[in-house]
Amino acid sequence: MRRQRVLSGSVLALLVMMFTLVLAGCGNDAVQITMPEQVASTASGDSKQIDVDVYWDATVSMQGYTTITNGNFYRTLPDRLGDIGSNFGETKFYRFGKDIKQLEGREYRKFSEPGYYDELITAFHNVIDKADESHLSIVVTDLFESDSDWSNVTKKLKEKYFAKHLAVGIIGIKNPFDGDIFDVGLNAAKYKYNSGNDPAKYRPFYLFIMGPEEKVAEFFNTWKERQSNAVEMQYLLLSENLTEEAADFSRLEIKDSKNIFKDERLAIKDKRIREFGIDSFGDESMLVSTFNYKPRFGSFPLDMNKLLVKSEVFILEEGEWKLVDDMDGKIDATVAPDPESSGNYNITVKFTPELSTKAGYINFLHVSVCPEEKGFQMPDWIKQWNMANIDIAPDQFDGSKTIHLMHLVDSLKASVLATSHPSLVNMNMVIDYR
Amino acid sequence: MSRTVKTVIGIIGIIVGTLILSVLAYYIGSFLGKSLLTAGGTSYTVWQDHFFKLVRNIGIISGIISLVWYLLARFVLKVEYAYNVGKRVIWCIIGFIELFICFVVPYVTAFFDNQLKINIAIPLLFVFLYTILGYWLGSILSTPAPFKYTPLGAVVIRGARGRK
Repeated sequence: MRRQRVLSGSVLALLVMMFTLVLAGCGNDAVQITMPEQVASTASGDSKQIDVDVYWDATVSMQGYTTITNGNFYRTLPDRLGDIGSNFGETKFYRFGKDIKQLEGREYRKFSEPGYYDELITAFHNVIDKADESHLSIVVTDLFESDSDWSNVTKKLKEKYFAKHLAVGIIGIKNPFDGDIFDVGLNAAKYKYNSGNDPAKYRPFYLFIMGPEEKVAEFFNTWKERQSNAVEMQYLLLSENLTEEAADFSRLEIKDSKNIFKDERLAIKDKRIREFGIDSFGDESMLVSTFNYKPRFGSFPLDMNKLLVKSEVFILEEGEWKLVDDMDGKIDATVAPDPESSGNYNITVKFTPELSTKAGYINFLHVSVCPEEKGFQMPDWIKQWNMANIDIAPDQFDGSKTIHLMHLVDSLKASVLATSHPSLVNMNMVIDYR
Repeated sequence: MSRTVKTVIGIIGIIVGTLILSVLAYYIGSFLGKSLLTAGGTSYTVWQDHFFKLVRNIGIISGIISLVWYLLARFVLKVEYAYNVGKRVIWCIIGFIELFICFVVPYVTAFFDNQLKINIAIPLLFVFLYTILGYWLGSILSTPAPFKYTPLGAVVIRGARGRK
């Protein structure tokens, strides 16, 4: 009898122990992991359709682009933009001077006619205020701003676009011009300029494209594919990502590692982020990754000898990512050319999880490789198209150049560096240290 | 307690014991698995899924092997002589089959399954849990009375427990 009780009790105890062990292993990590807003756009991929808004500078200074018929690219622009815009989504046209007015139906085709330009004041900053960040906004302009208030324009672009991980692209197009150029120099002089049919004298106008980075890049590529090189065109893209293919964990190849392994317990959907587990939190972990630098079409040429690596740690607290302040220097990361493969670079990240992450939290480690400010080289075409000296005699005036173009691009470059930290590589790692 | 009840308890005990050993094999093996994986290879979650299947398969085979010895000793083998000559050989053969399966099957499985990485620690873990604890110790504690001294070491262990 006693033996029976002992045996039954033993079996019951074994069953309870087994059940407890199984339960202990079960867990439902119902935590949604998304990209911290401080790091990158929270959208992991753009939707296919995006609405397009075209804002056309209707001031009298633009009239001269429509007057010469021979070899005139500008006059075909309304149809080209309508056509490309419709590939992206619903396209609307607006004319602007001081105020902005939406155009109905096919009225936008009148931009090919000289008489349609009668606005006196150019208020580009109003266009930026009105533009919808979720749309692709295209501004057709000669980059003339009343009162030369470009600092206001760049400030608005910085706050509305760069700070939100959006991009600005500039397409410069040289076109025949015969007309007046207003408000030149400190005395607001007016010059007549006629390029004739000499391409070396054509005057540039610009398309400013603003919106989600992938869509701006897509517009660049679509535009470039459809042009016949009849006139000179140049491109400049100011964006967070400097490479043609995203250099994050959706594409990065990991060459080597120590004390760190790939995990999927948190079921992270954003492919730019990867979850890792640590074998021993007290030992050093190491990750070596390779990336290939393929410059993004239109991006600033870079000096690859002037690169620096930045790292940040965030913790998930009450559903929000919070930057951990005292982690500076606790993640050691270096970048060097890959001796085995030309054009490839190795990035090595070393850290001791116990010191570099916060116990009891889900940690987000962001390591990025960025060019130094001096590493961004001004494209040659900007220097060639720039008119720095505005106080010159009328016979010295060169209408084939744009006043203060380099100053504007420099300001935009400084804005994008200050806010969105353009990078070549973004390693976004999640480590669960709960 | 009748022999039938003892037999049923014996069978249940082997099954439950194998389940517990399998749970231990899974969790200890999962802990060992962290050092096998890299940042660029199979994810730990996927590896655990494949490792679970390996543990399940080895556990089922091991449980069957232990049951085979128990059922042989209970229903098939006869006490023909005063000494257990021959029965120990059968016990050893079954034990070596168990050992072989615990050591070789993980390597064979890993060879065909590129998501399952193992090193020597995994087969050794299976040998310790299923062969030593499951088969050897289990057979010492559960072999029916006519052959309770057949397993190697049974005399010493049963003697230490005060049984005769």
